Amino acid sequence: MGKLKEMGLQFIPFLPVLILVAAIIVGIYHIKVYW
Amino acid sequence: MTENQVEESFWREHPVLKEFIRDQIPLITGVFIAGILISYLKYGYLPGADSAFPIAGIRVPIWHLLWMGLWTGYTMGIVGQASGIFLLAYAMSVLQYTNVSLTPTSLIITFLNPFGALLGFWREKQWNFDLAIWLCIGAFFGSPIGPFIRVFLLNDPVTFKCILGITLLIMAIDLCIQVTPWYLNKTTRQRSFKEKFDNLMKKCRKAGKAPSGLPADFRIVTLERSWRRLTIGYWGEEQTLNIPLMVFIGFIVGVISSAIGAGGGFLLVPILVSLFGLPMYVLVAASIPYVITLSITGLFSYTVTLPMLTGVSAPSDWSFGLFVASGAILGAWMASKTQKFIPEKYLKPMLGVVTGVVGLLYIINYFWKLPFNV
Repeated sequence: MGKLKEMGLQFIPFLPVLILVAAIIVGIYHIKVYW
Repeated sequence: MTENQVEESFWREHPVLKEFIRDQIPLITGVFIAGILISYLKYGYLPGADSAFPIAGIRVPIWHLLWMGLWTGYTMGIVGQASGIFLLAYAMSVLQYTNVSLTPTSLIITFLNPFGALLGFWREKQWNFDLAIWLCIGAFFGSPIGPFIRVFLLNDPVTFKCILGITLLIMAIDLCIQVTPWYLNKTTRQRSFKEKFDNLMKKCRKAGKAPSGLPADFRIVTLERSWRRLTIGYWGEEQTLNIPLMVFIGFIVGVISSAIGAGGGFLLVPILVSLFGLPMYVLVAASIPYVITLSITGLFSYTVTLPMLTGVSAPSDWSFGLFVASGAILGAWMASKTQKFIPEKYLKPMLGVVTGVVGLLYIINYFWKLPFNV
């Protein structure tokens, strides 16, 4: 963790959650525009 | 310092960047360009947001396909699998890609998905032919059967979603079990192996090598081989495997996976862990060639055998598949690099719950029509 902070990559442990949230947002956008 | 020495020391300090530029960029770009070329050659135009993908029958921007590959490849990669299952659910429920061609299209993606990892294993010479071949033989005979089941028994989207729901549920249960004390105790051998592995990786990093590969002295060796039993050794551990059982597992998983359009990891990995207690680093030596064999034989059956024997064709949408695959290759690679920093204790139950809820909705919708679209 210390090493990640050093490299400015402290968001990495949260990456799966961030990606899942982004996937939901893009999914909703698609439904609104293309359905 | 000369210019060459400066360059050398830069790459030594940034092994991951070196691997990305040397292995991943050419692979991802190559697959993406192949997608564009096939679009023009087969359809005469580039499908996307304005004009529908002809076989998939849906309009979706290309960036969305890259993104879908990336996020499914990443999240599934973190839990050690190819992107197939999430991708099928998302493509059906969000993109509305519900016709039969989704399954062979998904097999294109599961075929290309492990190639990033494959390059790494090939460089590290981490292979054991005897371990992989029996499962692959099972897949070779099993996966050509799947397409017939898909086309004749599972062609209705609601029925197909119900079966996909069952696989999602299996995956959800497996993910939740993986964090229980019972499972962690069962896999003590895996843990001690992991500690040994982590220590070596630290040394590897110090020497300026990419830390995700396997150490130079790591070999999965065949200790004994007959028609009935196979004994393999890895890093001082030994494991005897029953060969007819391996072929049988490969066959059954092959039939189910090619009918759905998944790589087979979602069934193969839990089965091999619970039966033989093999650690992940050894399992991938079997599961990666397995997924590739299954996808290619399944794809061949959809494209050639099925139409030849029955006159019914289920063509795959190559441009759709290639665009998604280029994102999935990047996602799987990102997962392999960041996996050790992700707290699995929270991630696995969280993904398990999401997967389980979607799976349950699909199953319920089969028996009682839900008031909303799933």
